[in-house]
Order: sequence, then C-alpha cells, then structure tokens
Amino acid sequence: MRSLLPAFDVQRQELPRLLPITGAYGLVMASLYVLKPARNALFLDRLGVAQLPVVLILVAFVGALAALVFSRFSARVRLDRLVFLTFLVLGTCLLGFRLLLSLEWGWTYYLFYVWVNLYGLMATSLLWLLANALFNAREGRRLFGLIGTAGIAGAILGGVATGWVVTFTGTENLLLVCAGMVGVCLLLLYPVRIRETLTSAATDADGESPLATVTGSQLLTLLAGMAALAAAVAAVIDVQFNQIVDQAFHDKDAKTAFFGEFFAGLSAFALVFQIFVAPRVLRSTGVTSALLFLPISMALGSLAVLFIPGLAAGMALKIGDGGFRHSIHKSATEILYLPVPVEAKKRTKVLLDTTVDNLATGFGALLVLVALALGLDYRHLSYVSLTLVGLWLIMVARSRRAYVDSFRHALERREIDLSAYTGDLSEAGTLDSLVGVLRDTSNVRRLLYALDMVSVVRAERLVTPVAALLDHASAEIRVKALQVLQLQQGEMPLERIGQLLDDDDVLAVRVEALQALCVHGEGETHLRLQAALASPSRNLRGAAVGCIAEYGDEQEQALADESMVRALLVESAEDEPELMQIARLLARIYDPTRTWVKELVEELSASRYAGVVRQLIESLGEVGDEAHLPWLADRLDDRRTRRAAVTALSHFGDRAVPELAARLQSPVRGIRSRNRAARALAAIATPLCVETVLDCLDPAQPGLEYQLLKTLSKLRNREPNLVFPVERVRAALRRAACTYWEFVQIQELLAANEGQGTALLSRAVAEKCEENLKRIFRLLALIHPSQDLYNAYLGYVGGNRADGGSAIEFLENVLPCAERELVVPLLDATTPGLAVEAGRRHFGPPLADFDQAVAHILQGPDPWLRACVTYSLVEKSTPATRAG
Amino acid sequence: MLTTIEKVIALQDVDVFSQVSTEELGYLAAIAVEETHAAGTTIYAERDPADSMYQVIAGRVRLHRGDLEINIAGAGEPFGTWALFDDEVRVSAATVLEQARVLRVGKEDFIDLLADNVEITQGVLKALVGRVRGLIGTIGAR
Repeated sequence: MRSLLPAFDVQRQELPRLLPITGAYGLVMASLYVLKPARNALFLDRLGVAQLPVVLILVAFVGALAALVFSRFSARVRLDRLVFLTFLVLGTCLLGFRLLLSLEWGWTYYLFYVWVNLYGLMATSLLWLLANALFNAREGRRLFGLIGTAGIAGAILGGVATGWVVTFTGTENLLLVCAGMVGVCLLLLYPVRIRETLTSAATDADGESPLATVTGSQLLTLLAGMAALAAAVAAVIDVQFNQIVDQAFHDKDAKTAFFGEFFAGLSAFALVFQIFVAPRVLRSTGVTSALLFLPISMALGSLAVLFIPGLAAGMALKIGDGGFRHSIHKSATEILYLPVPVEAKKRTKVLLDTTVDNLATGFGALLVLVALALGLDYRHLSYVSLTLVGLWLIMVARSRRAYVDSFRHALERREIDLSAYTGDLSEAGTLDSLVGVLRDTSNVRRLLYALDMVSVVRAERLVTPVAALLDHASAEIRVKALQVLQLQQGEMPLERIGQLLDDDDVLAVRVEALQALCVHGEGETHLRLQAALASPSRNLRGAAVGCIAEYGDEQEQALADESMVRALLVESAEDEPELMQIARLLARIYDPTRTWVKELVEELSASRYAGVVRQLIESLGEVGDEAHLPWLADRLDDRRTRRAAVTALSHFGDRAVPELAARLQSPVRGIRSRNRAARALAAIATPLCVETVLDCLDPAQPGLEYQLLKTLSKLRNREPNLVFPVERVRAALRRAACTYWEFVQIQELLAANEGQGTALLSRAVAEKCEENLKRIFRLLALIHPSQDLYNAYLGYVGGNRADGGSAIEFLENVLPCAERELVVPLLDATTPGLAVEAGRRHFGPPLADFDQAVAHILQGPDPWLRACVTYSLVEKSTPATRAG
Repeated sequence: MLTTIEKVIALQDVDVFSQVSTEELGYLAAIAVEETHAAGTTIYAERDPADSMYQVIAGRVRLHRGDLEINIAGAGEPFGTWALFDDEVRVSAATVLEQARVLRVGKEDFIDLLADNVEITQGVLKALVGRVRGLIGTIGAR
C-alpha cells in the first residue's frame, strides 16, 4: 500500500481514524494551554501565591481519587462512548465555570484550579487510550508521532493565542473559547468507533496487586521513585515560579498573557528538542544520560533562583520541567519500560503515571508548606529542590544497572512484546544489550528473538555481530541475519554473502543472500538478477526466482519469462521449496491473457506438495482473478489448504460472496462443508456477508443454524461497525427462546420418566438446552454490547448465585422491553416449573406429558434427538413389543 | 454388532471424551471399529507403535509390563487412550483374559476428525484441562 503522506508514513485507509483523533488531540492541547495560564492568573490574582501549596495538595488528593473512580467507571463503558461522554461533561463544566467565576466566590478558584488539572489528565489520557484502541502497535509506531506533533502544535498555538486573545476578551472569557474547542472535539469524535477487545478482562488475570508488582521489581521500584521525585520537585518549582510571576505582573490579564506566551515558548522548545536533540542523545549516549536532563536542568534553575533574583531566573527554573519532562525524559522513561513484561506494565502503568504522580505532587506541596512554616522564603525553597534532585540522581545512576539486568532477563524469557512496543530500539544501552545477546551464539531461541528485535533498527554497530551469525548452524538464524544486514549501512561481508549464495543448502538463505548482494553490492539489481537467472547453477537460478518473487519491482519481474519459468518447473519437479518460490512468483507475473500462465496455475494446483498448493492459493488471493474463485472455494474442504483458502478468499471481498453463498445454501453439501463457507464469509466481514448468513438461518436445520450463529458472532467481533438488522435478529431470538423453553419442559418430563435408555436422551436434551441458551446470548450480543453479553453469559452459567443474579440484573437493565420480557423471566426462573409458566405467555400451552414430549422430538428437526428418542423407546419396550 | 447409539453410550464413559457432546460422539462412533479378541490374544505388545485406543464392551483385558500387572480393564473401561495424543510406543502390553469385545478408535482417523470438528477438539481439551486442574488441586492439597 502506497503511503499517502510520505513524511509521516500515513496510508489512505488510516485517514478516517487518524484525522479525528489528531484534530481532537491538537484542540485539547490548545485548550489546555489556554486554560492553564487562565487558571494560574485567576488563582494568583484572587487568592495569592500563599494558597498555591494548599491547592496543589488538593489537586493531588482529588487527582488520585478521580483516577480511581474513573478507572472503575471506564471498565464498564465502551471507550468511544466514554470519550464522547467525558468530553460532553468537560464542555458543560467549562460553561458552568464561566458562570461561577462571574460570581467571584473564593472557593470557585480552588475548584477551577483542581478541575483544570483533571481536564488535562482525563482529556489527554482518554485520547491516547482511544488512539491505542484505534491503531495496532505497528500502525502506532508510524502514527503516534504525528498525533503527538499535533498536540505540541496545539499547545504552542494555544499559548500564543492566549497572549493575544486575552487582551480582547479578558481572562474569564477564555473559558468560552475553550468550550468552543471542546465542541469541535465532540463533532470530530462523534463518528469514531472502536473495536471491542477482551484485554481489560485479561489484564489482571494473575491477580497480583500493582504495588506488589512494583516492589517485586528493582527497575519498577526505581521508575516509581524517579517519577515521585520528578513530581515532588516540579511541585516545589511550580510554587516558586508562580510566586516570581505574581511579583513581576500585577494585572490579571497581563499574567494570563505572560503564562500563555511562556508556555507556548516552552512547548516550541520541547518540540524542537524532541525532534532534533532527543533521538541523537538516546542513540549516542544512552538512556541514563537522557534521564539526567530533567533533574540537572531543574537543579540549575533552582540555583539560578537562589543567586539571580528576577523573572529571568524564574523562567530558567521552569524550562526543565516544561521543556524536558514531556520530551526527552518521557522518551527515556518509556525505554526503561521496555524490559518490563507487558502484563506487569499494564498492571502498574496507572499506579506509576497517576497515583504516584499525584501523591508526590501533594508531598512536594506539603514540603513547601513545612519549609515556609519553618521560616524559609520562596527563594530558599531551592534548597528543598536541590536535596530531592540529589536523591533523584542517585536513582538515575542505579537505574542503568537495573535496566540492563532486566533487559537480559526479559530477552532470556522472551518477555518483551515487540508487537505491542511503539518506542525506539536504537537507544545506546538497548543496543549494547542486544549486541551482547547476538555475540552469544549458543541459544538459538534467544538469538532469533534478538534478531527479530534488531530487524527494525539501523545502526552500524550491528553489522559485525550480525555478520558473524552468517556462519551459524541454524538456517533460520542465517536468513534472519541476512535480512538484518540488508537494512544496515557500512562495510558488508560481501564475500561471505556470495559464498552463501553459491553453496548454502537452504533456498531461503540463498534468496536472502542474493537480495543482500543486490542491496549492498555494486551494479544494477536487475542486471545481477538477469545474470543469476541465466546462470548454469540451479542454486543461483532458484535464488533469483525467490528474490524476484519476494522483492522484485516491475522491471525485475519482467525477467521471469515463459521459457525461464518452464525450465525451472521441470528442474524443480521434486523440490518443494523451489516449486513454492515459483508459486510465489506467480503473484508477481500473473497475466490471465497468457496461456502459459494459465498452464502454470494448473500444473501447480495439481502438485502433490501441500506447501506448493498453499503458496499458489496465497498468490491467487493476491492477484484476485475471479476465474479462480470456485477452485479456491473448493480448497476450503481440504484441511491442509483451508486456512490459506480463507485468507485468499477474504482478499476478494464481496466478489467472493456469491460463490460462498451458493455453497452455504447448497442442500447437497454436508453441514461441515457449508459451515466452512460460512467461516470464509466471516473472514470477509462485510454487510453483504451478514445478509447472506442471516438469509441462511434455517430452523429446520438446527445444527447448521447454530454454526451460522457462531459465524454471526465472529462477524460482530471482527467488525463492530457492521449493522445487524434488529427485527431479523429478534425473530431468531424468539425462536431460540421458544426452543429453550421447550427443552426445559422436555428435561423436566424426562426426569419424571427415568428408565432404561433414557440416560442418553436426558444428556442429549440437556446439551440441546445449553446450546439454546448460548443461542439466546449470541443473538443478543449481535445487537447489544457483545463483551458485556459474553460476561453476562459466563456469570449466568458459572454456578455462582451472586454472579447469576448480577447477569439477570444486567439483562434487565440493558435490554429493551420486547427482548427483556421474552428472555429475562425464562432465565430468572428458579425452577423448571416457573420457567414453563414464564414461557406460556409468549409461546402458548406447554407440553402436557412425556408422550407429548417424545412426539414433539420425533416431529422436530433434530436428527440426533430423534435417534436418541427412538433408541430409548426401543430400550423401554418389552421383548414382546420389540418383536412386534 | 453395535449401533451408533450404543457406541456413543460406550464412548461417553471414556474420560477424555466426557466433555464431548453426545451428538459429536456420534461422529466419533462412526470411526470406532468393533473388534472381538479371543482369550489369550495379545491386542498389542510392549514397545509396539501406539496407533489406537480401546474401550472394552464385554470381557476383560490385562494390561502388564512383562509379568508385572498394571491393571485389568473390564466392561466400560478404556485402555491405551494416550495413543491418541502422542507418538510414543506402548509402555505396556494388553492381553485378553476373557474373550473381549472392544471398540477401537484409530489415531489417524481421530486426528482427521479433530481437524474437521472443532467442537470435539474443544471437548477433548476441556477434559484434559480438567484432569490437569485435578492434578494441580491434588498436589496443592498435600
């Protein structure tokens, strides 16, 4: 897929998700940098700097409490809805505060100060949560930088605009401007929908508390300690800075303007530093040096306040906190998290990011109050900061050792989840550890893992240790090493790579060797490939085909002509890997107008090697020629090719639906074959697939119907934006509820008629009853939040009375009247008798006795139950009856 | 000759199939072959390739290593179950004590069935997990 905006590596299909969140994040940051100056100026003007430590303690307390309440609440609401609701509340609050401020009540200013902090915390963290839900880690690596840049740009513009707008509007009316920005955010975020996941349920699976996880890891303890000290020093500095500004400006609007412009300048400084300096520092000197920027700059600022009184020293004081904390310091801290196992990170992130930060801010403010009470003036609060920075520097020094130890340990246990990591691996310390692992060739598993990690890093230091791996006994290691070398720059071991191309037994190694020579060797790639194809060596020709198939551009693909491919096909008739390369090449050279290409497809499709057929299926999926749809659909019935066929068919999208629908509806096919067609439809996941599967729901075939319901559940989970026609789902729900009701009755009647042969029938009926219960919940999950319904199902069948009660309570609250009245009384019935009574209203008179139950099953559509009933009747009968 | 339903009734007593629904056991019954072995016959010897599991319908089968008796499987009891799950050779021999009617489930057919039928796979895994949980519970209780 071509990149739409090369500078940011954005793809066209990502825009509908990217634009709203980027715009909203920019607006939130802009509004925050309007609100912060307004908040500071209003507070200082009305209450004075002496009250600042008190309000900071309040901020810490309320912040910790809000995080706790919010995290509990957020677990119950879908994220996109939560974001929209929160922004709605925040916008309304802004309008409310504008009214309250005009009344000039003293407590309003405390409340507003605390609220602005909450606004910043909630709005930004929710948008990042939303971004994480909208993009996977791979997309995140490319796109989060752009979202972050929009945020910084917003902060700069917000700050600059504050300085300008406040002269016309006055400080209080800035809140209306911010309310307008939140309104635009609401418009942007309204259409955003996310995919529901199970991650929140899985996070605390092992039950360890976040605090225990932190104290159990030296690295996490140090991270918590450094975060606490950073927040405490920032609180002290904040008080000093505000006091200096309060002294320098006496007019409220002038303070607002100064704060706005200063914060804008700080944001611009942070942006420039983050783009141009931070990556270089991280690559050249490593994470420890990067961690020193914030404490040292804060210490220098504190010294400046001690020795150089005035606004300039105050500004120097704030540069560290405002300029480095959210740029290089945040990047370095994220790198320190790299060796922390993903589950431990998820468990402790809120504690470290929110709770520790809030508590430490409160602690810092408390220290200020104590120091002032002891007679220190604001200037001499620097002694407090300098003492805390001293402790902080000791922790930074110890973090290096802890990081390297944790990193080695994590590599050994493969605990680093690269798919979830969105940071930069080229940091010096990280690379040192990786190079160390690459030099220890004894552990293949760890080596492969380390090579996977460095396959996205470009650093000259990697060339020597990776080149040494070209002699490794494992072909997999040689392949990976060659792939890593293709990415690197500098002096390459070309001679050794050439030897691998000529002599290596494994085709994949030869392919990667040839590609490495194409990338790093002299001369034009296509000439090198041409020469390889014309070579008398079969090894070389096979490698060239693989190389063209994997990496070739149009000019190189044109080299694979009929005579070359035919010759190779004859030569490779007994060689599965080479035939697979030819099948792979097919996707690049496919042209349905050429007879020889058609013959090639036919020849490969008849191959006795499953790997070759799978590769052919993959290639045909890529080329998307509808002429091959029937053949691809047939491959669903072969378990060796089924998975590849599903993927290939999904590439066709709606074009594959008619072919699959015909199979699904075909009465001559068995249930399993029809069900496989349904699974392929689930992989395509379009509205047409939903319609097709719904059309095929047939109560006369309960086995197939149940499988199709599972397919519908898959469609719902795979594509939450798909709309399921409510009335059709309700009709199916009514049928399922009725069948469930009938089976409850039959179970009851069988229990009263136990005898020889009925044990199997009883078990079969109980299983059908359970299956119908699942149907009910699956159908409800199509038109209501699926994760919640799944949890309710688990609660209902789990055997725990309280959970069962909660599940019913949940259904009662979430279902609309028609569904609630149909389902809840049935499920809420504590005895079969009550369930029968509950269903009578909807489904008519119940079954009268055992004979009627038996007759009902015998006339019903389920062949297995009919067989069980017949068997039980035969077993119950006397020998004379049986003979009759 | 057993009917499919009778085979299902027999197979539902096998521990690893206890979580498979009766309807799905019908598919398993379709691949289960009924065999009769005379007294004294060796159904399999020690170190034979393990390719099937058995369920005794009638009669008795002695499981032993040399002269050391490990168990006697009577009507309704399975033996050689693990053959369905790994490629190890038999660790014991099975010799018929009294003429035995058994159901034999071949490994190849069983694996094909699992590949085609996710519900059976799910049921077998559930039973295996239940057994592991039981073992962990036993160890924890000591």
